[in-house]
Amino acid sequence: MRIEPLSEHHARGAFTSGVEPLDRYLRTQAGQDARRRVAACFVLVEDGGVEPLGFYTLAATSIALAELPEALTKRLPRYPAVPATLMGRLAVDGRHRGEGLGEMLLMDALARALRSEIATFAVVVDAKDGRAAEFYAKYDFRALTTDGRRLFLPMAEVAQSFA
Amino acid sequence: MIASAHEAAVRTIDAVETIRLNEAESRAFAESILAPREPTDRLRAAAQRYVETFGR
Repeated sequence: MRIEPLSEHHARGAFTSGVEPLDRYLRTQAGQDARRRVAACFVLVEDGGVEPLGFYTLAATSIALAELPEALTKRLPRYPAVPATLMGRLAVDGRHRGEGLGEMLLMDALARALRSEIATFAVVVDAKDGRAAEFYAKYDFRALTTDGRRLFLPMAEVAQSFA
Repeated sequence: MIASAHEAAVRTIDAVETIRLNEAESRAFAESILAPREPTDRLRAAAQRYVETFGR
């Protein structure tokens, strides 16, 4: 297995995660987003393979904090906007469910965010439903927003888990 | 054309997206950044499996 940046040679037509917007994104949008540097897309392929078994996207984001007591804000590395890494999409092909590929993709995203030259203080994920949120919660992610749609993991904890 | 122009505009906003938190969310986030927890065994094990499979 390899995880590599999406490129022209990847055959995306047959990718089916069961979530149509994610499949469509990989087929029609991911390449353009990568060229425009909107979001970077990484795909998991078999060694020598060209068909993605899964993919995720990473983008820069900024977390704008509300007014907080100075005792707290003066200790923050940045305030009021904290730079973070957003993993906006993660999908595994339905034919490869239950093989732990989602975990591998998530760990790759964490490792990549950790060694990025652009320092960020958390990894943020979008959870499209309760099942997705449960998946991330297994890996120490907790709610960023009260609606539970977004979760985060502090970068210091990412570093510790790979130490 | 209108649809694709709209999509393009949405994507541009997406690219520089700011996530705005309310006061309670902000406090919880700030406290997590300032006082990170020890990773659970589950997360450590997943990171370890990854490193064994792909290297660092």
